[in-house]
Amino acid sequence: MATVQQRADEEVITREEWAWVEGLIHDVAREEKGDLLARRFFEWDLAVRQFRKMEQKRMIPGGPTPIDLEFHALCLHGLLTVGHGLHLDAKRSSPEELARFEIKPEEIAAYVEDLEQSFREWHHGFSEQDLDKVRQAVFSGKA
Amino acid sequence: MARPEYIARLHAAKYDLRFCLRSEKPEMLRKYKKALEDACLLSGYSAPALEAALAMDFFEWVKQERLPKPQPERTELRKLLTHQRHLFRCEQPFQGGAAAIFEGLHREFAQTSLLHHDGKAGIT
Repeated sequence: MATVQQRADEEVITREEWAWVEGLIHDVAREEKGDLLARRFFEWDLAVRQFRKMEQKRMIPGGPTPIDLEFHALCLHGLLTVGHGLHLDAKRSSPEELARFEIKPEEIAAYVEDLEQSFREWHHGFSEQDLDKVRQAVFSGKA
Repeated sequence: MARPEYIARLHAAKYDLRFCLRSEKPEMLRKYKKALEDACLLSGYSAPALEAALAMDFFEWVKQERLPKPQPERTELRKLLTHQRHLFRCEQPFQGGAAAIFEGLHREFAQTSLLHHDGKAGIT
């Protein structure tokens, strides 16, 4: 009987904790709506473009250096974190607010997916040997 | 070794996705996914294996195709920056957001993005 009561109490606490966290996130999202969302979005958009420029410059044939790869991963992590937050904020914003700055949640989602794809390309669990096999097969026409 | 046509198509779809206009992103993503699906069928390899194996070849392809650089030139940025102070009624360059997070990135690019967007949207 005591165990059942204890479990019920724990469930209440968990729900309260979740509600508190959800409320906190909601507060943060509310503060970042409007012009600030648009500003963050356009800054992020440009940061992505600048990242792509850097990527194109450094991911050169012959292989990027370990430092390149380290910063590549760091930048992607940062951009993805901001991107996911923006997507969430955009979905919570009113259509009028979004229309004012021509922001569409599906465009942010596509951006985020593009970044995730980059992460899969460079930061994966495949060995160089495995990848060489794929390249050999594809480029020799055996695949 | 020769690059198969389906890999060139995949690279082209990725280039379009990376450097297209923001409004075109969802459609370009759909096209890239289709090209990747086709490449998987033709090669017999999984999407993650192909993406990882061909990551470097993409940049080689971009170089071979002599595709234009995606960024505006610095002179163009300077021209655009003359309107910066009107943006969002801000007098100072923006302090928060990605430009501040990524200290190594040029603030000018973030500002120009806003200008570029506003120019397109007709916001003065």
